[in-house]
Amino acid sequence: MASKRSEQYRGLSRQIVEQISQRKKEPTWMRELRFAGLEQYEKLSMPKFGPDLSGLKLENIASYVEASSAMVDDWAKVPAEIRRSFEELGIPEAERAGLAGVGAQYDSGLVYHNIRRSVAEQGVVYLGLEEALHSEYADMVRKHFMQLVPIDDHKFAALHAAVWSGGSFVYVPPRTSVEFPLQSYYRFNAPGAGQFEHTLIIVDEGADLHFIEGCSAPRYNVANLHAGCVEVFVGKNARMKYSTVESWSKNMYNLNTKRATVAEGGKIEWVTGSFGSHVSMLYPMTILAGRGASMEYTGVSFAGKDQFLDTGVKVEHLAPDTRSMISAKSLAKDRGENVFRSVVKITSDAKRCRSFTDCQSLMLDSGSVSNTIPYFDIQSDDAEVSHEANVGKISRQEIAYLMSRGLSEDAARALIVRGFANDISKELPFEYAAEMNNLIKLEMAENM
Amino acid sequence: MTERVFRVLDGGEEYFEHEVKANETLELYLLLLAKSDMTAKIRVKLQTKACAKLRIALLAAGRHMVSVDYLAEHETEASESDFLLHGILADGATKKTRMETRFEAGAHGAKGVEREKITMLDESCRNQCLPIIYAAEEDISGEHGMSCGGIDATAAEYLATRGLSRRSILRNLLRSDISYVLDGLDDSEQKIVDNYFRDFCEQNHV
Repeated sequence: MASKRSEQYRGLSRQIVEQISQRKKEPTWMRELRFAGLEQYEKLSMPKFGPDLSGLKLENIASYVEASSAMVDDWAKVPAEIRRSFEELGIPEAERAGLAGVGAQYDSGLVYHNIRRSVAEQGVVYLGLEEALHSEYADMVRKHFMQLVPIDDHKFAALHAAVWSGGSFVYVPPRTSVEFPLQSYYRFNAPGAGQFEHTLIIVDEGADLHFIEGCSAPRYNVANLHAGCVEVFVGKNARMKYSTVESWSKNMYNLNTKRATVAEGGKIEWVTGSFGSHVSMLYPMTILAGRGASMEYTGVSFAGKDQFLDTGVKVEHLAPDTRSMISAKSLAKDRGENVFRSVVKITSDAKRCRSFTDCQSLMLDSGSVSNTIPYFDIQSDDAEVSHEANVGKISRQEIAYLMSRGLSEDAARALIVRGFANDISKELPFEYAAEMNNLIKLEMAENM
Repeated sequence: MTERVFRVLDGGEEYFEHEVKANETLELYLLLLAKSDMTAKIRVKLQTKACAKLRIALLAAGRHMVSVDYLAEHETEASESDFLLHGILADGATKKTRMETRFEAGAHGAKGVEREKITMLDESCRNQCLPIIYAAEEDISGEHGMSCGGIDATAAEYLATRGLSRRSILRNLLRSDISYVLDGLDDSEQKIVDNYFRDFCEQNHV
């Protein structure tokens, strides 16, 4: 298959937004939404909290980098150099071994998207979002697109609305359980590029889905920007698990927005491992909108040299009998900076809610920085809310004990760190847990 | 040497700033009676092996805003800070707490604890809490904890089986909560607290 010439649009302007929309042959409502996003982007200011974003020069970022091939559903048809990069990551192999479907994005476009026949026969829909926009699901997309994350939510949501490209649409029909996970994998290739994929997931009443997101990029000397968006709608009594193992290169600004709403009796689990990026601002948010809805968040972040990872979670209890549980762990070494930030809000209508937050930070050397900033806003007199946090270093007694068992000090420290992150790795499928443990091993080895 | 301070605040803005010198201890006990909007700002800076123990009891009723802003700065070795706030909110009271413990580089062996427990007596109250730990030093120990809710239903049920009235149960549980945080006061100071607590219960039909 001949490759199309790759095109890049650097910076942001009305003309670029128009060109992106025309290339994708979008309906009018989507084009108008893009222009509204551009307008909001120009009005809104940069975040007033968090890490320094002055190194991100948005005028130098390529808002759109066309993939050099069209999307296919057969790895054999993906151009060799692109296929090789995904093979090295183990994506095709993982798909064969035990995934219900895979979407692979290369810069701004999907290059591969496929769903197992048996899963499709259950009525599960897994399409590229741009494809869904032109399909029988177009109305469903329009009804849900950027409803959870409004375009004026913050500056990077507005930017995303203006230049989004790629991403996936998932619909799971009522009372359907998807036995194997679906996965989307995002790969950067172009230096100085932005990736703005949009993931829209609707899990209908009583259904069950596990979705995995992975990402990586080669390291360049210029900044790359990831400002994707994930919107998840969990229906009545439905179950959704959203797992992410993020290992962007250390020139990346990762400013992703993730939000879910959960209906009566529904549940969402967020499982997050953040290891890469130069700067991350990542706060998955859950709105517990229906009675008895619940959320669990389990996350680990590891900030090494030249990394500023500002991550956390937000949850709003809007209905009675809702539950949230947050367990976050962070590590910092080699002058890395880690901030854990959370918000638990309980409104006056949310009777008999329970919320528990636990954050633990481990500092692996002097010079690193760890902040924990959990915030609680409780307006109900019969909510039970508790929180605990610990910050400290690896216990000398634990190291001494492991060394008495024959381990070197470095091996002992690495083992303790892997144990510290164990809560997260055991929530992931085996291959992803192994990948996460490898990432930890690499981070520990860099400075030992 | 230990410096011990007990103060009752009933409104307005109060500011405490204290540098705790090496090897010394500060014990600060505050009883906050929120009869109008009030703000208490507490700053402690700790030198080597200094210790600050801060205990705050809060009785807030009525549509007032109570703001407690606490900062402990650990800049040198082996200092300790321990902040504990127990509060009762009733009749539409709003409470905002910001607790911050900072461990700067060089604060080897320092420890800092921030804890808060709030009992809300009715649904019109609002509790906001922001506990922060900033650590720029590896060899430290920082903890914070927060809990918020109504009266302990299990304890109340047990006391009811002992024949206590609802009113007695409520007052006993709330008073024990306040006693816990002000355990370092002497008998005459506890009597002062008793009087204020009784007035608070009478005025708010507890």
